[in-house]
Amino acid sequence: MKKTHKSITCILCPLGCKIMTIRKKTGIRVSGQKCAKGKDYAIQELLNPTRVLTATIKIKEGVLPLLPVRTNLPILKDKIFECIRNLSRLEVKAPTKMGETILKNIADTGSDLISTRDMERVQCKQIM
Amino acid sequence: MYNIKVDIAIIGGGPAGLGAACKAKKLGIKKVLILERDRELGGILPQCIHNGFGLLYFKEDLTGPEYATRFIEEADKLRVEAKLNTMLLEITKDKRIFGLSSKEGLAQITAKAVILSMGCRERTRGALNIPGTRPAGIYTAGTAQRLVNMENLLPGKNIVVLGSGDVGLIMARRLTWVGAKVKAVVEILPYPSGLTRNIVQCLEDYNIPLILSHTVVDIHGQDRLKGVTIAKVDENRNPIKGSEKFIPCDTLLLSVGLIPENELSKSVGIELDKATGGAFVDQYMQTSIPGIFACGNVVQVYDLVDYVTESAEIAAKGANLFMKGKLKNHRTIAVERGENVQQVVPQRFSLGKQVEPIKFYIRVQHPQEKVKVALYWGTKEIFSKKELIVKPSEMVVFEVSDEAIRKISKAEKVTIAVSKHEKNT
Repeated sequence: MKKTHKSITCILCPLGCKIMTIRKKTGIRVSGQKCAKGKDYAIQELLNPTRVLTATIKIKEGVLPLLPVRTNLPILKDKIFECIRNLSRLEVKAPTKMGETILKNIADTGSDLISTRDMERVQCKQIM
Repeated sequence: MYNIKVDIAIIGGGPAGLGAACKAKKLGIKKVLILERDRELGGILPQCIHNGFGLLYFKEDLTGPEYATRFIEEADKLRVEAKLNTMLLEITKDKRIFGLSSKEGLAQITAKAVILSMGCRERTRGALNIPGTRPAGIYTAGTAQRLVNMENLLPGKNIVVLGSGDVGLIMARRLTWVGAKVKAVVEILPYPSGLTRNIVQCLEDYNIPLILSHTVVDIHGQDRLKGVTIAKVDENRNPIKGSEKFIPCDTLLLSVGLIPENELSKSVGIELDKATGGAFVDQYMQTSIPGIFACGNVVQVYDLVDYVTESAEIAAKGANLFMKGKLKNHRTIAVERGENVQQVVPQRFSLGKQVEPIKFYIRVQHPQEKVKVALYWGTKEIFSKKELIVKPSEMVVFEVSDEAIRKISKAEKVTIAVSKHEKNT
């Protein structure tokens, strides 16, 4: 394996340390962090960066045309666009409650897509 | 016209209003009424679908709609009343409130105490005086957020964001996710104005360039935006001739600051602080008019909704004390801004029989490392704490002990300053 360098900005506190990581055959070297938590964060960001995905899906007969959703667990960063492609095809029907599971195990991430608000049904259809 | 009498009237049903209403109910206040101009409660939170809310208050990572829903459900359980779709016209010094709604007509509400929680609004192109044509395709970041997250509309496909405020950063990522190309985020200052978390997770994650010390100097296009010219600026923020560069784009988002929305406060004659754009308040969030309190972004633009909720709960406690007659005959001490302090809230505090610690929320003027945040009476340092780094984008919370407050009980005014501390410890 080749030696690779990657700079990571720590987000754990306002200091925002620029942490340099060097990945070699023998392991990972981390430098530039001002605390121990920063080292763990940098290694996590290097090997296994995860994010919570938040998005919207279409909803029929809701007071709004979109329902906000999120993954219930952080997912691998590399899977974000695949998840977005999956959820762009979804459509649900109002009413819905906050926390309802919309899609289980989205894009094989092990994380479920859940709704993040209540959505009431429209009272009457618009004439125009 | 209908007439109602309440204990506390709360103006605005966003996170500040909801937090104040719930706290007031928990303190045993009977009739608490929220007046809201929108068709639902929650303020701006329903359009902030991203996570990062509630880390301090709930110790959980929530999205905006989830944070709002928690308070809306709580308010419902506590039997907080709310009038939606109601636009207020005037508040008077004797705490009468006049409002309008298309369903119920003119309303007069008489309250024993009033809590102002109207929030803030975005600065627009007009406030910046950007030269050029006036084509379609120029939006504030918050408007774009509402279009994308609530109305199912995409403002454009090739985007430049001016200003590195948090909403702009969040929208840069959101627009990337929905298929637009964000060409750059342009910031006039030599450092970003949003939270580090957002710089990393919204820009760096998607290789969106952050161009510091630059601004937009020209706007091109007749019907639709065709592009913007950006230029480097000197230390006085003046564009440098010869550094201009054209970026083709169809959409420009402005994320250039928020202004507390104080039209109602002005109409009743509340004294406003030029530094914050909000009311002068004491440690109970009481304004210059006794019995009128203010909390959240209408007082000072906070970085985190968690701080907004905290200020709302303080305002509710203050209103409760006021109604019990416990805020009378207090002596007031002014808090002045010293070195590297752009804003401080509260701007004054009063001393009664009971002395409690006071939390000051400070925004610094410029980034500085290894500093001391201190409270002075004249030149004498009364209380201080050290910070490794301070930045304008992240507020400093400075809690002064009750013991220190007692020491300055005879002062007319005190100063809060942020300065380099001598020894590097």
